[in-house]
Amino acid sequence: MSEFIKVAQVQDIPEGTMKEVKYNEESVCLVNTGGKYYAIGNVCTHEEGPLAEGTLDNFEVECPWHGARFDVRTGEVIAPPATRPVPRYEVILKENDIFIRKTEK
Amino acid sequence: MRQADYLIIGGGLAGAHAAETIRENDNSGSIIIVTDEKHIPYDRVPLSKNYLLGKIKSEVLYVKKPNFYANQKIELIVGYKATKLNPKNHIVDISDGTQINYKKLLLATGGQARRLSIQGSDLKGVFYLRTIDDADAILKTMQESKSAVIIGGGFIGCELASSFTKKNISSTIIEVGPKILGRVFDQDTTRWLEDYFTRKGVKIMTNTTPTEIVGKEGKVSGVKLQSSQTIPADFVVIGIGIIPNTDLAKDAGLEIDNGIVVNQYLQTSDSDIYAASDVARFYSPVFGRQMRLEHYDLAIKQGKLAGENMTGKSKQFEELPYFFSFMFDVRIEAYGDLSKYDKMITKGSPTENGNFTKFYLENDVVNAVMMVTRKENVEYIKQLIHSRKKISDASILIKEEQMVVSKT
Repeated sequence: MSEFIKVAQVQDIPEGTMKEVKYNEESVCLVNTGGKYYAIGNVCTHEEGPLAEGTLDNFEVECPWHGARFDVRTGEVIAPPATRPVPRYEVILKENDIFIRKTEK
Repeated sequence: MRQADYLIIGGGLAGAHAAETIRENDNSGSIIIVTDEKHIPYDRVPLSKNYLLGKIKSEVLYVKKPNFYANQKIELIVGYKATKLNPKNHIVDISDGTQINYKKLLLATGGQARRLSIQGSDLKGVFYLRTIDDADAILKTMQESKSAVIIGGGFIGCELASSFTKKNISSTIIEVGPKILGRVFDQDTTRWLEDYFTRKGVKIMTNTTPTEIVGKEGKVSGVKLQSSQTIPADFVVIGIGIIPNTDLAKDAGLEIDNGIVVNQYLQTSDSDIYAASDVARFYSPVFGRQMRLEHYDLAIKQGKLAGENMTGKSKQFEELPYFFSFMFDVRIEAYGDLSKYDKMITKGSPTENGNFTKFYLENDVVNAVMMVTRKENVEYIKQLIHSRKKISDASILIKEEQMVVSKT
């Protein structure tokens, strides 16, 4: 089982925003939607667009490059042109610190 | 005279991806990319959509970050044009006055917006959309505009109508043909799309020919039609297709036929010169015929394949055409060749945003599958088209379980 790593503090990521963080070498899109935090892979599985620079609508993140959409809760594809899901990370809060770890398949 | 093991003309998706792939296969050969735009290679696809909606900055469009080229020892010559190609001596003249002697050359010169030559087309407020600079000019005008006329109901025109409407600019599409996107899709789909656009507030005028762009004090005020009616507009965008940039190749004596003709290895009539993407008329072994396409996916895949073959491989281009487009809340994607079919099978029935799939068959062989805001098993679809098998009972296609079970 992978380790939880501290990636941000709650003040870094206001409600309705996204932020790129690093989990070891992996680029991760950290999301705050409705006061809840989620983390999925930041690299779009279509052509590697940066998801955290896209748009967030409730539980859907849209890649800024070609509009592929992913569910931030599961990493699953909601809309093309992506066809494969992005990885998902577990998020926990300890006081003001946000920790994540990769969810094993 | 400068030397390049690999010379790439064109700073789009194909050029940048070719350079990357060449480097992956040859870590020491010298690579030069020449682009006549004042930007490092970028992706045009979001220009009509997220870029005009103000959702992304131009840096996000770059295919690779600026430091990529230096790190990979890929030289970029930005803002200069390749003016002459001499295949016999392997030399390309560049507009900065230099000459480059190449071993392998890739022509990824793309295309340019087809111009509409009617009276008034030189007025201020008349735009085309092909480059970041074009998009920036449109963005600026959008901020002070309430209405737009779009001439041409193809992908660019329809995507623009969606972006403008989202920004509260009332939009009219003028299309000379009987339907918007009528040269791409079947009648059923185009009819549905026309209704959809109308519901979203876009005014669509088909079978309509613009005769003049009218203006006041040098600036656009509307578009006059053959019926002599004038549609008022604060600005006009013309999206009537592209013309492939074949001049360099043509003057060099390479074979041209609505694009630079290449074989299945993306090689032109000169074996040291390759061509890829919008400018290339390639042979598809899957469909057994030549095609020229202007798709994102193809640009990347052909760029990569040409790059690989330039380093000495001999791989055939066997990929299926794939495209996608977004307009309002509709997402359309298609695999295969939609241009030829004698039978069409529809799965699902259209709801608010689509949610239907169409199979296009010719002699009972599936040539293409298009999805409108609907997910299917993509691997199954690709296999279905690739297999070229006759489907005796077409109803099998619309069975939901078939789509799931037949996974690879």
